[in-house]
Amino acid sequence: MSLLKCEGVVLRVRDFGEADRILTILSDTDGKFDAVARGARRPRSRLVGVTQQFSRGNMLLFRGRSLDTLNTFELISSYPSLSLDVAKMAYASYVAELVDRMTGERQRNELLYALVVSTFEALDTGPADLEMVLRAFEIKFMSVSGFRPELSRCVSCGASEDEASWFGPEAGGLLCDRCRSVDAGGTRFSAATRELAKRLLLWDYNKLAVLKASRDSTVELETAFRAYVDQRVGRKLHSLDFISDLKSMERGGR
Amino acid sequence: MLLYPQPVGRLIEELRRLPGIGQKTAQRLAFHILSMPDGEVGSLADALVQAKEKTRSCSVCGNFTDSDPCAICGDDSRDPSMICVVERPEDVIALERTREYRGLYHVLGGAISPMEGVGPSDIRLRELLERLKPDTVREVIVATDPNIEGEATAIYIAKLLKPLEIHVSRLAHGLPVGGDLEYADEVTLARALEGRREM
Repeated sequence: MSLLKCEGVVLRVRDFGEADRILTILSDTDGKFDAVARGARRPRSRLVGVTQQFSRGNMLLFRGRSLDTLNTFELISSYPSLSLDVAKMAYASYVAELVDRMTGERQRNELLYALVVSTFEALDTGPADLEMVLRAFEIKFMSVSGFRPELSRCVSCGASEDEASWFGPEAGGLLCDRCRSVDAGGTRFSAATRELAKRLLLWDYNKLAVLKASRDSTVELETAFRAYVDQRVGRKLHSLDFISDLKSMERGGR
Repeated sequence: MLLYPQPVGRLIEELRRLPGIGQKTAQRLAFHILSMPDGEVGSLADALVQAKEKTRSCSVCGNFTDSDPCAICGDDSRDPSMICVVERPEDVIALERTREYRGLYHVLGGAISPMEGVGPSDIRLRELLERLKPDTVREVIVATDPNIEGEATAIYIAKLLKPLEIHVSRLAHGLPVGGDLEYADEVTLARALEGRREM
């Protein structure tokens, strides 16, 4: 039986059988895969506390025909505030769900792994504007997954960015007034929003606190990115509904 | 070629739907059932049907019951000023086995889980708030599972109940009784340290 040693984060946890857990892990060397943590729901198991969703650690696994078996998990971080704040947990769940849905099995992508780790860190300890962290994650994620939107010229005719004030989720980037009709789902994308998107793509999370974005730009960005992500994922993510519910409850004063 | 006679194949398929039962186990159970005396098979089938037909949710706490309200909610000797909030009916049984708790229960029917699409409105939180209206409850003990979903649910409940000025407590996290400190994982040990108490 071969062994796999890697560093990884737990994207998803499902109960399995009497006392086992199936973990969906994103690793630095082996991409995304499922592994069973035997007995991990028993209080005396060494895996009970460390095999929680979002935990990051060094792992030793036995390779199996269909499913690997987790043997040891040395915790690097459990990102504690993600479980102490419902909003942070919801945003981290969105990150995990998007990565789980969009990533194929065993496709090594070190940039993606580093991005997920830094996003969990940013949500755990970073700037208070969680929405901005999420927008930054969306564009960075699309970029490392091979779906980087075109933000420097009209994706249809090549007109300069100054002429392109629309974003086409299906077209995959900026559209000018003349080409706007090529994408029925196109939304308004002002120059300020375009510059904000570029910064979110290139800047580290720890710099985001200095970004000052207008209400209009944040709304334009959210609308455009949401449509772009939906277009690539193909169906709505559960965690997005949850985030919407949470926001409407907060607005309702509960 | 059919591997099993049709009724046996159907039995195996039905058994496979149960949690934790795969093809091999289902086949083993099916062949065991075939070798059982007729009376025992009839009794098993009757028990399945009766359990499903006669069990419903308690209108007060949400636990499984064959009478409404359930035996715990209808027991006058229980302390109505304490409500212990759990995720599932199995958790009530686990807590009752301790014989330490004499208050009432509230079964949520799950925990908040964004990835599974379970939001606050999908669990029995509104019913919990209704139960707290008569002003008889002094303490709500949140006994959801000590995992991400359970913690988020606990924190959500604490936030929800804050304006009501009811004492909200959470089950302690830490080392299992009789366990070795050396073998405890980092998260559990850190929680045990956080939750240490005066002696």
